[in-house]
Amino acid sequence: MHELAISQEVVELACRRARGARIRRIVLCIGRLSAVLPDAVQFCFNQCTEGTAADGAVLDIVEPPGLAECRACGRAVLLEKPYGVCACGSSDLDWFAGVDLTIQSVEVV
Amino acid sequence: MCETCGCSDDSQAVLTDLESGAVLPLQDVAAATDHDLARGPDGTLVHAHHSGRIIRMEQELLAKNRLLAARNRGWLAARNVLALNLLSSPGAGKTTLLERTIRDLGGELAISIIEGDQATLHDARRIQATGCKVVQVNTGAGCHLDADMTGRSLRLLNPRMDSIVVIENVGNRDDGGHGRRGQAGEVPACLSRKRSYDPQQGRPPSLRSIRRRSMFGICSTDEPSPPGHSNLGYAG
Repeated sequence: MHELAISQEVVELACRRARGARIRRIVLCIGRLSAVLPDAVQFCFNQCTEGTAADGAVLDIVEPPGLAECRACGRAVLLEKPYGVCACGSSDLDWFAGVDLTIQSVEVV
Repeated sequence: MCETCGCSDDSQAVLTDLESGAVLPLQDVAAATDHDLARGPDGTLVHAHHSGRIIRMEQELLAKNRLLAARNRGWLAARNVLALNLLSSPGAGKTTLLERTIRDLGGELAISIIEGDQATLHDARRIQATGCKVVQVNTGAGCHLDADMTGRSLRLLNPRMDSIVVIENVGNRDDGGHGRRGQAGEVPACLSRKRSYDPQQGRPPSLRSIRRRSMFGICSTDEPSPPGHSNLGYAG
């Protein structure tokens, strides 16, 4: 449900940064632990670009995996979803990567 | 040289045949690819295969929210107010838990409540009936409370010094976590009794969106705990 607002923010920030130039591509980073659905952002994106400098632009989404440190045993745990269990059985995990929600770059004509 | 990847028109690429030792220049091959360079409007060299200018942004989308959340944390710390974010799926029993907590502890602790719902004042009225100070935020088409809504609610609520504020967030499983509104701790509640426990709607909250250390998991005794979690895990 929050993906529409995120898409709007992406388009707004990208257009502001492009300073009137026509935008051809936006590269967005959505970490796997960000609780944001890339498909939904992609779906909303086209609606949000209508009539803006990003109309017709492509949205490239990169999805870095999540990384956490197990608070019980200290092992690094790779997470593809915002939940998971360490090999030691603990689910008390301290996330340190994959929470990103960042516009990486904008390609303008 | 291209500022995106370091490629260059005069890369002097060569192909070597290790048997004969012959070295063939590859300029013609490189020129035939779309990997040549163009000059962007600001004079920087860019990939022709991008055929546009790449602007690096590295801009965090939630930066503004993070700033506001930090401001909320400062506001709360200055008043020595402990703020807890109560979150769980719809129908899990957040309001019921609050009513009971206020009734049992209201005499000992100063508690006030920020009620979050998409619509209606129903939950705020239930809290008000306990005699507790409460403000209601209706998020409308949005789902959860963000740092700005929380900040404005806090100022309206104006909790007294050395007290506890509980933010009853909009029932949702995924949006609540990450300390995004500046609270000190998170309380995922799971009190559903069988009658209100709809497997589609009122699933026990998976604790997946929670990652802060200062968190208390509250689960009912008539429901199994979410996998991997004890009934009272994560204290402090």
